[in-house]
Order: sequence, then C-alpha cells, then structure tokens
Amino acid sequence: MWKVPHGVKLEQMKRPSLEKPIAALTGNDKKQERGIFKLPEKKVSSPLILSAVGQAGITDETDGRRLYDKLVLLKSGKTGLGYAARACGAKKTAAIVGGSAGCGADGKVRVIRADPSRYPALAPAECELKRCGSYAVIGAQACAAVYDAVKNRKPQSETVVTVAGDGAPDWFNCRVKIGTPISEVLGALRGDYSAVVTGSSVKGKAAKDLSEPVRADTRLLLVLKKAKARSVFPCIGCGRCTAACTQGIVPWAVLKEMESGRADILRLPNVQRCIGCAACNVACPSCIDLCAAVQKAGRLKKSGDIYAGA
Amino acid sequence: MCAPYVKSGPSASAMLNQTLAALAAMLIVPTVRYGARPAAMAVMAVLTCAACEAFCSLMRYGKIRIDDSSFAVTGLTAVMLTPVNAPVWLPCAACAAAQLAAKAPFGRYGRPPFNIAAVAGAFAALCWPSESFTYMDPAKPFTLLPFGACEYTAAVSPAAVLKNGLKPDVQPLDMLWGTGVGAIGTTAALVIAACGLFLFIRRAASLETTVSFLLVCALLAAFFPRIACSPLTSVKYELLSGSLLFCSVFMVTDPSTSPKTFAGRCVYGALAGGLLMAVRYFGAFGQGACFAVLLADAAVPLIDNFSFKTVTVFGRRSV
Repeated sequence: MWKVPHGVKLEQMKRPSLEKPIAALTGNDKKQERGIFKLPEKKVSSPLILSAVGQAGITDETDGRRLYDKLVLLKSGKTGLGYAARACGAKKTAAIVGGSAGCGADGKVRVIRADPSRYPALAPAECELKRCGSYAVIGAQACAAVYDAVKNRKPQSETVVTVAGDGAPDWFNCRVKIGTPISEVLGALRGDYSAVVTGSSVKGKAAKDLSEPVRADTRLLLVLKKAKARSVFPCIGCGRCTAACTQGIVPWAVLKEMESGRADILRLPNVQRCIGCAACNVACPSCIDLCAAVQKAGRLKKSGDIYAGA
Repeated sequence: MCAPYVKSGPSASAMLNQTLAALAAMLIVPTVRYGARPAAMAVMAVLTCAACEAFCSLMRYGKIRIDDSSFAVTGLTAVMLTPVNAPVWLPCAACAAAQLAAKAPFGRYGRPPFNIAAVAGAFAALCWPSESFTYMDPAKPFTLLPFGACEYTAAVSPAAVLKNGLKPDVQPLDMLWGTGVGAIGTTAALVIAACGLFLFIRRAASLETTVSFLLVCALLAAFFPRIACSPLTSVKYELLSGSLLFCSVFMVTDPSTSPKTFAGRCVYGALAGGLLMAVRYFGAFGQGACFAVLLADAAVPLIDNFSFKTVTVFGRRSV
C-alpha cells in the first residue's frame, strides 16, 4: 500500500536534477524513427502544422491539455514558438526561463524570467503575459514534439522524466516511451522508498500503484523515503490559502460554499482561473484538499447550472 | 544537490501544540510563587477536558478518538483565568460545561463558532461569581494546598478597584512581574508578552488581531478614563489590570474563531476591544474579557461575509 504524501511542490523538487543529462531508458526503435502519418502538403503552413499536431496527439506537459486544442483556440483570435506560433498566427513569441538559464542568447527570442523560488514559478510570468493580451504557454517538450510531428511525421511517443527525491540516491533525467510502467522507470533505482509522486511540472499526485503508466504530461517521478502523513482538520480560518493563491481565488470561501450543499455560482469568484498548482493545499495547516474543491467549483461554474449545487 | 522540499509548514496540530507550550510556560511563575496548586488545577482541568473530549467522541463516533490538543488548550486557558485560591473544581466544572455545551454539538477543533475557553470563563463567572472574582493578597501570608482548603487574606483586584472608580493601590510597573492581585495567568504582563512574541513569530497567533484589540482598548481608556487621572495612567491601569492582556494574546487570536481575512481580523480585534471596554464600563463584573470575546465571536460570520465581498469585489481579487 503506497502512502499518499501531502503538499509536495513538484516544480521545486525537480529543479536540482535539471542539470543532469537526459538518458534514454529504452533503445532506439528504427520503426519509430519513420513517419507514420501523412500530411496533405509538404509546404509548412499553418493548417499543415495544426494537422500534424492533431495527428501526432501531442499533449502539453505544462497543463496536460491537448496542444491541438490550445492552438486552435489561439488561432481564433488569441496568440504562442516556431511552428506553434505560425500554426496559430502568433505575432510575438517569448521564452519563459527559470533562474539564470541561458536562453535566447542570440537575442532573437524575448526572454521572460520566472522566479524559481516562487510557487508556481510560472504564475508571475503569466501575469506579465496577460498584460500583452491573448497568450498561451507551451511546454518545451510539446514544442519538440511539434517539430517532430511537422518535420518527421512522428506522433508524440516519448517524454522526458526527471527522477528525484530523497528515496533516489542518484537523480536522473530519462527519455521514456509513453505508457511505460513507473516501476520500469524506477527499475534501476536501488534506493529505499515508500512513496512515489508523479505528475507534470505543476500538477502532481501520489502514485497508488507502480504499474501506472508514464503519461505524456508526466514530468517528474518524486521518490520519497518516508511519506509524511498528516491528519486533516476542519478549516481553522487562518486565511493562508488566500495569500498562497496566485490566481486571486479565495479557497476557504469556495470550500465553505461547496460544503454548504447549495453552492451559488455567483459566490464562487475566479474559480475558473485555477491552474491546479495546489499551492493552497501546501499552505493549508489543516491539510484540506482545497484545490479539489476549487476545481469542482470551477466545473460547476462552467456548467452554468445555478441549481446544480442545490 | 539540495535536499528535496516536502511540506514542512505549520500544521493545525503544531499551532495548537505551540499555544499549549506557551500556556504551559505561563504556569511556571504562578507555580514558583504559589506552590503546586496552580499546576494541580491545570492538571485537573486538562484531565476533565480530556474526559469530556473522550466522552463526546464516544457518543459521536462510537470510539474514543482524540485528534488534537485543543482540549488541553481549553483546560489551561480556563485555569489561567481562575484565581489561585479558587476551588479546584471550579475550572474543572467550567471546562466540562464548555466542552459539552459549546464544543460537542459542533464537532472537532475548527468547527465551534465560539472560543471554548471563553465559554468556560463566562460560565464560571455567571454560575460562581464569588469564587471567580475573590482573589487572595499575595503580599500577606497564605497557605495553599494542591487540592485542599486554602488560608489566605482576600484582596480587591486592580480591575475591581477601577470598576469602583478608584485608583488601584499598585504601581503599573509592579503589574508587569506577576506580583499583583489577579487570576493565575493574568498578572505577569511580561510573561504574557514573551509568550505572545513566541506565538506571533511561530505564526500560531495573528498579530493584527492583538494590535487592533489593544489599540482600541488603549484609545477608549485614554479618551474615557474611569478614574480621575491622566490619559496615559488610565491606559496603563486598564491594559495591565484584569485579563485584558492575556485575552489579547491567547483568546482573540484563536484562528478557528477569528475571521479569515486580514481586514476582518483587524475589525474583529477592534470590536472585541470595544466590547471589552464596554463590559468594563457598563457590565456587572470587573472582568469582561470572556463575554467580550463571545460577543465578538458571534459577529465573525458577518465580518467574514463582508470582508469576502470587499476582497472579491473591490480589492485586486476582482471577479
């Protein structure tokens, strides 16, 4: 039985291992090198890129959404690198980098610095982007997959996973096939561990079974020696979740409204903005799953059913 | 390679334990001055609270389930508001009544809308006023047995003297060291301040509530003095007498019963301060901290509702 750890900041956890080289977990499959789907034309145009992205089934690792959906949404009046930008007609592109990473050294790409000490690191950068109008943040792996889809006609079949945590003696990055069981990725690991957290850069969850597959949005396998179990208390009203939320949500009020049994969507402000970073969960001294309540409220609000909560 | 970061922030139970540690530290001075009686009262009150907690969980869940140390905080806080010469059963009875009437119907820590220790204090004041407000003179010879009857010389507390419109026969500086007449945990202003500092640094208590509470009390004492003296003297006597200072650190800062926003906590502190001074001016008792806290607690849902609207509509967190 795997323990479920609480309040792990995946984004910050994986940072020290980012300097490690990426090792290939599986051998190169020659058949996978060849393109397996066809595109209507050879000239790289916006519809062709969108078609390639759609057929390649690329998932953006930053939020786990289908990249095709994001690009189509942007094309209809909103803005995004390289092919992705051309696909949706973006006028400007920028690279969001954390710390002192050397990106855009050639001066062609505008660089937005993200503060790695903040959680989530992307949130302040997104605030800056919001001021510029419509935008989308696309992960580095998704961009690489777009290139493979357009140039090599390859579907997204691999992802780079970082293995970190105090249960792993050597932290490493590895390129694995999507669908590979977690146990296989951790196979070579000799560490003594009792819990594994899996997820994208921002969203994460405890793996309840190591036979769970690596998904396209899996960016990190956090191996913990000991999962610290905390007991859950009712809300004590400290208000720390409000201070932790980067999206202007008041999680305690959302929780209270959702627990009332007759939630009024008019009293659920900003819930649709939740990015699922679970910073509220980390801040909560009562260990309440506020993020789940906010996302449930977001779905309720999106449904527009004012009687749904009744 | 730095160590991995797993949540290490304060938990609700850690906050309770820190409050408990601060209250236990408050027992040191009375125990040194009066012997084992304050400690015996504390042990009995905590055991009574634990028994009530166990009984309530047995009735609610069908098994004994004690998740946190809130019952011990209630027991120790109630003892701090009791005179050292009061019978040992007094804080025990008050705690039992508070646990059964104000906590059990609502559930675990975080659910009850009222401060349980304030309920205990108010219950004791209403049911046994003579035992609750009869203080001994520590300057005169006394015999205090841990559980038996006591021999002492009764004295009037500075709060009661102020209530009668007279100037207490004690220097404000003497009220800092716990040598004055009063309840067990309310006379040593310096120890209360040190414990408060510990709780504020560990973020187990909110500073803004205490500041607004003390500020309003000080302003009211300065502008409406109860005795014929300078405003500064009135402020000193009002702040250092009774359980005002203890209340400002240990009772109004309870996160489970205070509002959830910064502005809300400021308003709550100010309201509690105003109510406490009103109880002192117009109430029947010289000490009204428990009643003021309970009245302010009743206004918390209203304050929360208003501050939530303000935050979401007028603040930067616009809808």
